[in-house]
Amino acid sequence: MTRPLARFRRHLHWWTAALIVIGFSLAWVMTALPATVLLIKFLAYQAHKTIGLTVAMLAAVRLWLLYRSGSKIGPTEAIIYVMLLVVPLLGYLTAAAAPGGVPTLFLLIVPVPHVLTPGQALFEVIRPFHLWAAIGLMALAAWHAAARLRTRQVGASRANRRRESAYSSHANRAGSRPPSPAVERMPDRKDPL
Amino acid sequence: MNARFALIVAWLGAWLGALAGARPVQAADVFMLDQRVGTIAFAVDHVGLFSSRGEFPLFQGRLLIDRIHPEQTKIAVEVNAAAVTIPWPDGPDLLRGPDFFDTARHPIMRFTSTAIAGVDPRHFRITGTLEIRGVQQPLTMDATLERQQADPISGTEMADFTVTGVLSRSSFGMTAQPVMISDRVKLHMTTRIELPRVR
Repeated sequence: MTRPLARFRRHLHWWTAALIVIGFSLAWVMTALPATVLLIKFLAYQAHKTIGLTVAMLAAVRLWLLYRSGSKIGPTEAIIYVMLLVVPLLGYLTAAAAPGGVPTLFLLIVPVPHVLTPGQALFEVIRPFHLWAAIGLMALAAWHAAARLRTRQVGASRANRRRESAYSSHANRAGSRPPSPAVERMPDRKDPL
Repeated sequence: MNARFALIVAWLGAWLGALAGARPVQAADVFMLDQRVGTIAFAVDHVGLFSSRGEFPLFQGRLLIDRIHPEQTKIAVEVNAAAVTIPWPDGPDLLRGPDFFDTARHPIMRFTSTAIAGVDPRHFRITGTLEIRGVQQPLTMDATLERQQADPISGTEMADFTVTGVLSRSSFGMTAQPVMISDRVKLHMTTRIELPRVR
């Protein structure tokens, strides 16, 4: 993989991570807002919908890049990719079924057609799936982040141990220069999601 | 024309709902109205992007048809404002609150007709006074006879009407959320009435 492409994929990864955290947090705020601030509530819902659609588009681009590069991913990452598409899809269906008939406006200007007829019964069926899928995605993302942090810590502590051992063996041989920490190689990292 | 006008007038009473079987209570001229057949709905726009439709599912009224002087026909309807529905989360509570219908202090809205005039054989104009939140304002609505058919078995005549009108909510003191909720409120009512055939 070329370096600019790798950097682009890293950027997509972190944009996705930031957006799902913001979108998830916004969901709790927007549903708790009272109807007395209807305009803010409306804007919050539209921001949440825009974030969801963006996450789905980013996930599609990243899957395509992954397919092109032929990289392998683990089961947790694979499930996260699926959830990055499923959660926004369920959110879209929830919005389409919502009885208020509030439109979905991507970036507040691009109307996204709704494929369902609004109805309270359908809304109440779909909404919990969206909610629990989103909670599941956040849990998986947290698990994934924790696993990556742990991998980094383990890698860093191994590198430190190697460095310390190199220094101490050098101390026993007076006059020779210690190896430069700059040339110490870190363990190979997998591509980020 | 008198028969049609009587039908129209009967419906006008029923515009806030349905007639209680559309049977006259007495002397074939006084009808009690309720919501069993028919609807009272309203619609508001939101920042020009979409609109919401609400309903008043509870109302009752009285329709007095003067067959000799149809223009003196009277309609009086009372609507339970606290029963308002709208499909937003917390929407009904918002509308019941002090910024809108203030149902704690003004639970009932009233419409009383002052004049009914024919525009053409299928269209009529109803003028009256609407009271919301204790504020009275004149209101004119257009009534359209959508369908009319005789029922030979019961010997009655059935007619379907729609009534439409527009009001300014701010003229009733409902000025909250002017950006998100339009000042212009569209009224839309439907009903079917059943009257003894007038010969």
